[in-house]
Order: sequence, then C-alpha cells, then structure tokens
Amino acid sequence: MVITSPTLFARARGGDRFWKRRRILSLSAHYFGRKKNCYSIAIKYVNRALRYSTIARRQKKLDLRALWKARITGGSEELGTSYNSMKYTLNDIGIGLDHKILQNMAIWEPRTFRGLALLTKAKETEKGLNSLDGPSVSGVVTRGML
Amino acid sequence: MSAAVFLRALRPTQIASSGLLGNRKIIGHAVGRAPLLSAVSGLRTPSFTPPVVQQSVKQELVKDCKQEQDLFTDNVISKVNNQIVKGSHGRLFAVVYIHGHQHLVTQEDLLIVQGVFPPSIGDVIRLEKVLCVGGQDFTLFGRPLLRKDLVNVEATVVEKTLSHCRIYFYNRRRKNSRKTKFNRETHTLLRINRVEIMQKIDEVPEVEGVDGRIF
Repeated sequence: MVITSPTLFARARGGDRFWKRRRILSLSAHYFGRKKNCYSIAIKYVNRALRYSTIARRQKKLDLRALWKARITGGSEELGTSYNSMKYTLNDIGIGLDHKILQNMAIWEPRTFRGLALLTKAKETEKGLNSLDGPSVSGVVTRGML
Repeated sequence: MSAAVFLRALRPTQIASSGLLGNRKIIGHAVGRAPLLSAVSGLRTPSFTPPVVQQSVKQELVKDCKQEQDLFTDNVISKVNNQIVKGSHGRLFAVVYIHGHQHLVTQEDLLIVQGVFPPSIGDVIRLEKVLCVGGQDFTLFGRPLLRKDLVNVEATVVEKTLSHCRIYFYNRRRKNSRKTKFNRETHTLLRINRVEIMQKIDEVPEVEGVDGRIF
C-alpha cells in the first residue's frame, strides 16, 4: 500500500549523538587523561580552547607589533638613535617601510638598518637636534635633499 | 597680552611671590584671608645685583665642504653603478608592496597573498611597487617608491588554495549562548623569479612623475 500523506506531528530526531561527540573528541584527541575520551569532560576544555583561539587571533597581531617595536628599539639604541627618532624621521623623509620590514632588517640586513640609523641622525642634525652630541655624522652627505 | 591683564589672571599669592609688582604693596586681598609669608616674600628686592659680564664673541671657522661632499657622492655613486653594470652585487633583496602588505623578498622566495587576487596559475607578474632594493654593499630606498624603470621584480603564480579552517567560537558559559563560524581564505602563492636593477642610479628620465602608476 502506498502512503501518500505524511504522518501527523512526527519529528525527525536523534541519531546525531555519535557524530556530535566525534566532532568534539577529534579536537581533544591530543589532551591528557579523561579530557580526551569522555565527552562531557572534553566539551568544556574544547570550548575553552576554541574561545581562546578566537580571542588570540586578534591579540596575536597586537603582540607581534609590540615585539617588532621592541626589536626596532633594540637595533636603533645599539646604533645611537631611538625608535621614536627613526619613526619620525623616516616618515618625514618619505621612506614608507613598516614595522615588520624594519624589524626584519634590524636582524637580517644589519648594514641596511645601520644606513637608516645614520640617515636618522643626519636628518636630526639638519633639523637642529643632536647638537649636544658634537659634529654631524661622518660619511653621510644629504646635499639638502632630505 | 598686556601686563595688567596678565596680572589679573594670576591669584594674589601668585602675584606676590612672582615679584611682578616690584616694590609696590599688596592692597585689597580677599576679606577674611590672613596674609601668608609668601605674600610678603616677593616684596623683597635682592641685596646684590648679578654682575654684567661682557661675553666675548667666539667666531667659528666654517669650512665650505661642498667640493669634498660632491667628490664623496660621485665616488659612491660610481661604485654602485660599477656593481650594477658588472652584476657583481650578488643576490639582491627587495621590499615589495603587494595587496596591502610589505614583504622583504629575494629570488626563489615564496609569497602568500591572501584574499581576492585575479592572476591565475602560471601567470608571470611584474611586482611594480618596490620600496627598497639592496645587496651586500648598497641599498636603494624609494621615497616612498622606486622608479619602475630602475628595478624589476618578477613572480610566477604557483598555486591557488584555501587556507586552513579558522573556527570562530563564541561561548557564554552557563547562559546557553553559543555561536560557531567557519572561514577559509583564498591563498595565492607567488614564487619570486628574479630581482634585478635595470639602470644606473643616476640615470634620470626626461619627464619624471608620469610612470602611469596609481598610488
């Protein structure tokens, strides 16, 4: 016999429990103890981990930027300038290198970074700063073009 | 601003202690206020006057360094040009601006461009926004970009994939509030084929600023 009308008030329920738990337990597979195998315990820790990773995605950018700033400060202080001087001066001159590149150069392209530091000092001397340190930076010729 | 207006702007104790009134007495403080010690201290004049020292004018001899500097400049430029012409600078790096981000690249580097990037696999692209080029002995900085004729950075599109799955999970515990989103960005991988300097650095074109570029 062919049933042409649907059954009244019937709901399609359940059958999802196994796959719902598998989704969570696959994420907790590398945890220690009952946290990795027991669903009601694992769900708490997996939720926490996912929440943390969501927040950290935004925080990572801020943390890396702070790290880059510290590296640029370290490199510039070694060479006799400061982070602020370099940032202001490079902006003034029109060199548009960002934090990521500058910290990269401070570590991996030391000669280039040294050139930028000398440039900063020369430009500041032209502006009238650094006058207490003595005569202008040797080996830097600006020809008034900065 | 006149002196009277300036004095009016200060409080009575300030006026007294600042010594602006000189030898005049303070009359007319606010009623009910006892005069402070500081109110009378400004009325005293110093018992000595500092001696007027005649300062000798020191004249510095300022050297005219223009010739020296020009020689130095020409020397440096010619050294750089020699390296460019002979190709003896070795491996060059370039700072390239692509899709909103700056990358420090050399030959054989892999670059990821995230988001919508039209070129398809196998296309050879010329990266034109170069902020900086350098080698072992010299670096050239653009203000902010170098001329297109000066530097040539070529890249090939190697792969077009999706990133790893980023799970955005928001949970308010014990409040029955939970939201899960998934996202995968398109990634285009570029292999840098070459970074070259095409011209001598003091070769200036006849008409400047009209490279047809859009900043």
